[in-house]
Amino acid sequence: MRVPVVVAARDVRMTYQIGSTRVEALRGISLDVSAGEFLLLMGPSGSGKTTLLSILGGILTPTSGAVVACGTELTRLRRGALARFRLLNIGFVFQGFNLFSALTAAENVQLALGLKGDKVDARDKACELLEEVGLGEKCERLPADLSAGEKQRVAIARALAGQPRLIMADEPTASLDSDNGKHVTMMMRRLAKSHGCSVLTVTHDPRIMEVADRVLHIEDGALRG
Amino acid sequence: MVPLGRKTLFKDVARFLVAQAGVAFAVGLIAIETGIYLGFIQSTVLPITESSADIWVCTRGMPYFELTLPMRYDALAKARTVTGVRRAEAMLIKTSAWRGTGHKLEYIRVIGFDPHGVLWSPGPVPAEELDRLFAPDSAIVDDTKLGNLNITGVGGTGKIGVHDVRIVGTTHGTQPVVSATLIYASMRNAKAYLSMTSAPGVATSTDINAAQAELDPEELARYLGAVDVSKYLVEQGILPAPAPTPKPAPAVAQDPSTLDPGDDVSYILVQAQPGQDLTALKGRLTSELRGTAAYTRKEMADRTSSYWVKRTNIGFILGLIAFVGLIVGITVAGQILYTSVVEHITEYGTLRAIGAPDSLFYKVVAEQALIMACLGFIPGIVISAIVAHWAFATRGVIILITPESAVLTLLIIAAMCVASGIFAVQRALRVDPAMVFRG
Repeated sequence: MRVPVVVAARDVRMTYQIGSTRVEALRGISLDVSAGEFLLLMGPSGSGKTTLLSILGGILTPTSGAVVACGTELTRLRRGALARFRLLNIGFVFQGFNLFSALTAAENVQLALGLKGDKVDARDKACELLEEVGLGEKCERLPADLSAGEKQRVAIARALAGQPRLIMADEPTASLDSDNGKHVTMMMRRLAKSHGCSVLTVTHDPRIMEVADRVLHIEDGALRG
Repeated sequence: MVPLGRKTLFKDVARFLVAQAGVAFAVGLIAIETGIYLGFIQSTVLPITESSADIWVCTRGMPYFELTLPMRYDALAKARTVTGVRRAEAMLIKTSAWRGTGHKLEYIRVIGFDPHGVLWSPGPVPAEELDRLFAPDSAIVDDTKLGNLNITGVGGTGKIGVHDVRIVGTTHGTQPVVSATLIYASMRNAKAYLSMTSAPGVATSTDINAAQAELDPEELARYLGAVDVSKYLVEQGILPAPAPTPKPAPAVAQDPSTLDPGDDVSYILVQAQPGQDLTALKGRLTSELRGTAAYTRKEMADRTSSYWVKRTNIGFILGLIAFVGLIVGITVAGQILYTSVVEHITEYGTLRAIGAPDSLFYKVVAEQALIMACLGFIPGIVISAIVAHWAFATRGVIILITPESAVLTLLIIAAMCVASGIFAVQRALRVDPAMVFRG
């Protein structure tokens, strides 16, 4: 049976103009992300992986090429529509967690639910998601009172809020020690499968390779191998 | 929805209090400096706005309250006969000098008025103190000016001309900021202090004023600039040649509220009969009283404040200070909000990345701006009110903070906070996605 494609990128190019210098960040990348797939994108610093993640996640618009995500041609969407698309379809996990420091763990998740229009019982749903990542007892803690691993688990709960079809994770284990990194990666994979969403992870961390369904290597703005 | 703006604002209490102190400072700066400007304008027109006269009659060309040529006292009787006039009272204002103990001189303006009149009084003075003004060589002064006169209170004395004048009462809040010290006296005492009684044939200012109607302005200016005005006017055939000076008559007790018909007065204050058209009444008064102009109370106040604001550097300087205060206050408030947003730029970037609509950014910033403006406004305006109260109580200086000006200050601060926040949010809305993904 053919697995549906959640994200399809075709000949994606991205060029920056820095002063008088023209920088080609991406040189004609094409790839598909299948539904439920845990895809790893690896490459050295400056290889263009974060730029590619930004384009596939609808944050950046490529200089040329096409990106279809969840059935929507992203390159045709305007800024507001792109934001709406991201909100409804994509959950983000960041290297630095990017939690709102003034909000408790539950409120961080609740905020994401509220933004997605899921305001009924948002508080209960947020606590349920935190239960799923093992933080049911720490719903009322502020990020400053959580460990790095716990913060990333809150970020994962926030990314899962509102049932996104795709999770984009940027170096999710970079700020974690070995045990926490592995734990968080396994959790992300398990939850993505149980929630029926695909995961596209950008990383340097070779420990994640063993849990990935597929690994792509990017170098100098192009996929290798 | 989670109150992100409010929670973010209150998370760091120390930083929030510092920001609030800045906003309060901005509020205080705007309120006090605009209050000084507005208070200055109000203080210059206090003698006018506090009167209950509907119309002020004076000689033509009066630029502001304290500078007017005199007219004859008998104009008062004539004014009382004009149709539509219910009541008329005279007022005299002239410059002189007060010699306190130790021969310390103070520049003063003597205001003569009818202590039993109803159209004008020097502020909140008890009736018994007003009655004391009928005694010879008596006067009332604003209590903030006692020090200027080198006296400590009621009973203090000094000299005006050859008169030993006793202060028989005090008032408060009547002294314009920029004026010479105002000394309030009965008409007759004021006349005595100003030594207006002249020997026959010697030109008084009333005579000069009468000549005003006959001469063109340039000629009049020459007369006024002449060393011997009387001689010049006689030479020009405007005044009769002087008769031999008679021996002065011994002083006799006279009604202290009235003057001789030829004496000088500065203003005739008129109360109109109910239902009178003030414009028509002004016309009747000026046609009956030759060489005069008539102004409603508001016109008189506007004319005086306009003089200070437009024709003197004092109005300009205070206006400039108020404007600078406004700009500095706005800048401080704006800078605080801008800094607050920039400090949380990563969080705003995160919101943008996860797809929050632009409206949320504006909502968050507007919420923060309004909270900061309102909470900073309260201590700012309270401190300003305390400063204004202190300035008025101790120096008689009016720092005018009205409910309207306070609300306007709040709106300005709120608008500036919101505008600065929105300006700062533009950075979050244009944030480089790579920055969002960076740890």
